[in-house]
Amino acid sequence: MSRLLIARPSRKYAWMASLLFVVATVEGATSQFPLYGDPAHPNISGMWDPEYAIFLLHPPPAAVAAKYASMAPAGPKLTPAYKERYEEWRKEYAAGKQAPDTVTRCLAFGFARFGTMPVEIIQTPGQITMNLGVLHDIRRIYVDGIGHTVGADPSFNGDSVGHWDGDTLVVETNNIRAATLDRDGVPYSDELTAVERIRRVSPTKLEVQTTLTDPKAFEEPYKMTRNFVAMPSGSRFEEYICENNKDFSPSGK
Amino acid sequence: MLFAVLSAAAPAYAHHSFAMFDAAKMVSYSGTVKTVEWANPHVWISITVLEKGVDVPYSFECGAIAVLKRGGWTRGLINPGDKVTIASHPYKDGRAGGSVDHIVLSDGRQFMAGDGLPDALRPPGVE
Repeated sequence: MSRLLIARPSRKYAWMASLLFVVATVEGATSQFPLYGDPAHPNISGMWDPEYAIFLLHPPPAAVAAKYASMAPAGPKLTPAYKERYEEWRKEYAAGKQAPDTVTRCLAFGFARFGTMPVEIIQTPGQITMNLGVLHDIRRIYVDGIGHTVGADPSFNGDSVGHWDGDTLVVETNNIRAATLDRDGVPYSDELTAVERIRRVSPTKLEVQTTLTDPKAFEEPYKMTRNFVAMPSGSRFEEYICENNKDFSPSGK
Repeated sequence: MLFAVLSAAAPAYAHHSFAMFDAAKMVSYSGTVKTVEWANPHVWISITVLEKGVDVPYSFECGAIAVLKRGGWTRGLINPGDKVTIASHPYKDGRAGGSVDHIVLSDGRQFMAGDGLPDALRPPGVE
């Protein structure tokens, strides 16, 4: 019979708790989640707002577009089959309809759109967990050295393995289900893989540079930058359930 | 005279696109709140507007709950029976209602009900 040992904090270490509070308060200036993190690496934990949200306006006004041009380059060069798919989408949209996507069906944002909504990043040694504030997407980035998950089915957010390159977290993601790049309906296939370079450039900014490769949908690898800015201190998410869409039928009925 | 009759069935709330609304137009309606559906992905408000002696029903879509809250809304902010003015982008197909830009309560307070852009990231000059 095995015995379960439970460690209980003892009163004689109460002074350490108050020291931790002071440290946390100071560290709080540089991280919203000072008690998370990984002693060996920069702490990317926090509540983050996507800079990319600016492109939720379609199309953005000229003044905005000019200023943020580097954040939203033209879009991937699609292969003929996928270009045709996208043109179909645009036609429907112009006609006042919109083909359902994984978001409007309340399934998931998926890997490529994960950076378009607020996210809660919880970094712990061995794993970095990202909880999206809208719908139910969770990304788990394994930094435990074990590698990709064997036998996992494809998923909307894929399987992510990370390692540190100095102060930059490099994440490789594969095993992704087909979906769209953004609200615009640009499609990608189930052959999408990605490499992200994530770096906390300041206490309030997280830089995320992503290279997407998709031999079926993209003529060449596509680079995009989706940065984050820190949400106001003390921000917390509420549960997000698509109640209004629970009876939604993809056929539009 | 034609009345727009709205059913309370789910299809009215099935997801749609922004292409349904005329982003270039803004129309205001003043009326009495009938229902408030406080849910995701869109909060919906229906009101009746007195037009030529007749109560005409209108249905308006707002952003998600979290978006409204950033604009200062709370769950009980408006309730059936309240008098409210709604400024919205109308449906392109002429349906009674639209996508809410902002509401004005009977005490004059105004609340934005935008489409998803967090306030902190709203560049100057962008609606």
